[in-house]
Amino acid sequence: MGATEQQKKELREKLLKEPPVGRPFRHVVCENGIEGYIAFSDEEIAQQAIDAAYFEEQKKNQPLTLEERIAKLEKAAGIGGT
Amino acid sequence: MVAIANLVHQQSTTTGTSDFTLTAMNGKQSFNTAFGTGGSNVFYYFIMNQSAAEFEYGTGHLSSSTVLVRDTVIGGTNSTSLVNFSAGTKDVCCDIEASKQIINPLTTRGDILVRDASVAARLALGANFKTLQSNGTDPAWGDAPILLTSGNITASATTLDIVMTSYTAFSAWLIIGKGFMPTTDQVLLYLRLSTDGGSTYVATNSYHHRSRCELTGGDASGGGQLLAQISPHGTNSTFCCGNVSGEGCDFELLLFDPGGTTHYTSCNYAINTYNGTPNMGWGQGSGILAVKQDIDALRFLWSSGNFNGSTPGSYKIYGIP
Repeated sequence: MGATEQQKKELREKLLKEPPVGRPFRHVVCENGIEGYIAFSDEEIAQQAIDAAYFEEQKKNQPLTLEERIAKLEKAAGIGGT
Repeated sequence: MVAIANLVHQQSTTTGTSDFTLTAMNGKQSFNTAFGTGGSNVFYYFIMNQSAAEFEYGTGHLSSSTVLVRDTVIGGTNSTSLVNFSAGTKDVCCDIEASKQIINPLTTRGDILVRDASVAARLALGANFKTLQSNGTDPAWGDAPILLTSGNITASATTLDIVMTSYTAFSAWLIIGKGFMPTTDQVLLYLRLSTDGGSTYVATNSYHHRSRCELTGGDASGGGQLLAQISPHGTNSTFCCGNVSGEGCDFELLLFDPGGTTHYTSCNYAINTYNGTPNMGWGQGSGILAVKQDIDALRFLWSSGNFNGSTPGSYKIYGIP
């Protein structure tokens, strides 16, 4: 399902010529050299915060690196460092 | 290059094969005015004898303001040799011989003038995105990778959205990212895809992703997690991208068959991150969007925060036929 002409038209009509001040925005590049900006809605700003929180949570649950795995195994085997 | 000029017409009564002494004609331009003296094969000339069936054309020059030297005979009543002109008044003009003249074959906007086996011909404009190539005999339109769009990311943008609705016929898009840099330290670069020309972007668990990355210290971690987007940085937080001057990342990402609707859209990529030390990391992986629809817009964003406020990066996207 590709974009309809109406969807493309609506997208271009949304574009601002300058980035909005004090609000997150998208940099949108359309075809034929048309470029512009779309300010985030309140809902999108809220979702962005949720995504960032999810990412931070994910960072805490990262798999161990190789060195960390080796150190853990060595420690379990009673060898290696403290 | 042999020159031509308008309304150059003089006369001469010179006979034989020697240089022609020219006389002016009222209201006409002289060879000396048009071309000056000296050189060789400076201009085209055409000589016609009013009193005999004799003519000659070729290239020549003036040895003085009124003396025509016939350097090279191209044709005439003595073939390519100097005509031994008999008595009578000769008209001497500047004219291009027929074989050097082009009857304009162009008929349509975008036509290109080429030479076929013998004469000038038109090469009609190729289809959209075709490139001019050679088939070994003639110029011809063909397929080649082509730059579709490029630009700089606007500072402090939260996302970079690139609408690609006109480019879905390509078999792949090659996306080159240079110096992508976030505002927030230690974040991941994400790619999301749109199936409706950028009106919305799929941001669900429809994406699948596999990657490996190596850091300066040589440690590695595997991918295999389900992400909410394709993540060229993998899932290793230590492979994130920094936000200090001199940090950032470069990547190449090949997205296959964006216009396909019979299978999932997949991509693979290689990415380098670096900081000012300089230390660097390397990542490689693949991703798919498990939606069988054509992809017609791209969105780059960071796992948290915006693109950098001073050096956000730049991109180029090539279409692979």
